[in-house]
Amino acid sequence: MRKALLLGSLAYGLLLLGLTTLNGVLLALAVPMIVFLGAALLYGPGTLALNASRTISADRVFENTPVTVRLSVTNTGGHLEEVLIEDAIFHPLHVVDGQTSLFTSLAPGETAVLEYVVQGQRGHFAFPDVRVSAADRLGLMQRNTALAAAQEITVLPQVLKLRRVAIRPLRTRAYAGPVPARQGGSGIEFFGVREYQTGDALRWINWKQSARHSRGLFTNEYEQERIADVGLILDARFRSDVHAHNDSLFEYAVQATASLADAFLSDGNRVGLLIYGGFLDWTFPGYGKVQRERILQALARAEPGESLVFESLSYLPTQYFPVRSQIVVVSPLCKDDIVPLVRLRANGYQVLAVSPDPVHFEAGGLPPKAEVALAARVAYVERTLTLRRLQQAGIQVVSWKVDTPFDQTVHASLGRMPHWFRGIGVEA
Amino acid sequence: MTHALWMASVVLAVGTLGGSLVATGAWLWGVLVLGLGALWLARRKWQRIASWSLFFFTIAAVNGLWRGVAPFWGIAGVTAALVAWDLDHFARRLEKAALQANPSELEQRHMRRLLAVSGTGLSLALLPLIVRVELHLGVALLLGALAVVGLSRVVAFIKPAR
Repeated sequence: MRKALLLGSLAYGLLLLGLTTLNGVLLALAVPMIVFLGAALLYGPGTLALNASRTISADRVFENTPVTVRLSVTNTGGHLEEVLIEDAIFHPLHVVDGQTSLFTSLAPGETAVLEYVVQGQRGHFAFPDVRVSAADRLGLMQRNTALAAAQEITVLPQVLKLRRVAIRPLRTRAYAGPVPARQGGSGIEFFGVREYQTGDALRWINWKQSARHSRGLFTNEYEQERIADVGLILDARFRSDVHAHNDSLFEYAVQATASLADAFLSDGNRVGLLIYGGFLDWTFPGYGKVQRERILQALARAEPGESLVFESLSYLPTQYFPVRSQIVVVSPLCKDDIVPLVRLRANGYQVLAVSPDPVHFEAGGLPPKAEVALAARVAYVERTLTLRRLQQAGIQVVSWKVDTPFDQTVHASLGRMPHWFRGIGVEA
Repeated sequence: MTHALWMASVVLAVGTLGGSLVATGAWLWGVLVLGLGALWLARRKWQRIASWSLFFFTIAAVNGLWRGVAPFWGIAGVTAALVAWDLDHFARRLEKAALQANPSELEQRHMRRLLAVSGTGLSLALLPLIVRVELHLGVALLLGALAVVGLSRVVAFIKPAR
């Protein structure tokens, strides 16, 4: 429209000047411009009558999986001469193949098709309206419209397959599973010895013990293995998110949470997720593949947030988690988090803290200077003290240097329950 | 094709306007037209250069006509500047879209329309040079009224579109 305005102003100015000075040549100078404007008015686009529809090859994918998007714009009105169709793609998606804008002309009933391939990082993407502008051949008269072609893509976080993650909550559920239940019965691990009862298998009789006592026979008991309630807490506070070399530590925390959720659900456990950041995003506990999908969808949407209420972990809503269940906190951890976590432990929860190492992560992106090394060392000492204090309170801590594969760290730390840990919290 | 025609139009506008201004002794105006034309050719990516060039070329043409430049050169120069200005915008619009459906056909259609309109405009503008018409006050007022009506039509068209 600015073109028409400029041309109109020039033509009008020349006409006025010509008429005021009664100079015919100045009037003649305005004629080409008036003819331009006349042609634009004559051939300008009428009201735009367009329909847009969009199809996508998948609405949920894992990171960096290509998705084909096909956008069709159909002209249900009159002939449109110069049509510019623009589709906007932004974070977390980016175009890897094809184009998102098209310049064409549309006859009545004709359909223009845009096809392109996108892929991206974890997140949720809702396609915005398609912008269409149509102009006359001279581009003077332009009409713009936005067409709704709603579709959404959820890019799920990458899930790493973990080997066994050993947990030992104080209470388990009734169904058989891989978690030691702190109760005697049939199992693999030796649990204790009791007096022989009718029906006990002969191979369970502890012959050495029986030989020492005159009262009778004694039978070995093994620890029952059941499934457990696991509550995952992802720390999504702004203060916990560290950025270095165009990377975010929060992304690693999300990946770790997704992998842990997958591992616990694969073992048959009942898993819930709490994303603790700008607000509380609670995924109710559940089992199996459906719950896995729910958790991954929640993690796909997770963003670091800020809230005065949830600035510290003190307001963790413990009522969300069954009493004496297993809680897994995925957080870089800071000094202020010690008290809330110890309180959780004191309330009877078995707490496992998986902590992506923020000092190592940030120091890796800084220039190798003496003062940087000193600062990193001080921060590292502070972090080590924090982790030690947590361990002293009976909290299991896994410190993860994110340049090491998570599977490797988990396998080294949680592949088997440490011997010293087995006794902690054993019921009388 | 668009680029070549745009360059030819700029050169033609600068040649006719600049040359005629220099020929009448308006050296400064001639040099300014030449300079702006060169800048337009060299810095096409500047967003507003086409509009500013058209505006200045029109001013230069008015100035030239007052100084006694032959009307043909002034009108031809302004028409060439108009064509260059339109092609500049068309090229930008083409560049904005990463994909063009039948680009050569789109270009050809645009050229045909542009040449027809600019040819008609130029012919109609040159007509009074051949057919002399004495303008009386009444006719002038009528033309003025037509101009007002024309402008109001343009404004009325633009307003609902916004």
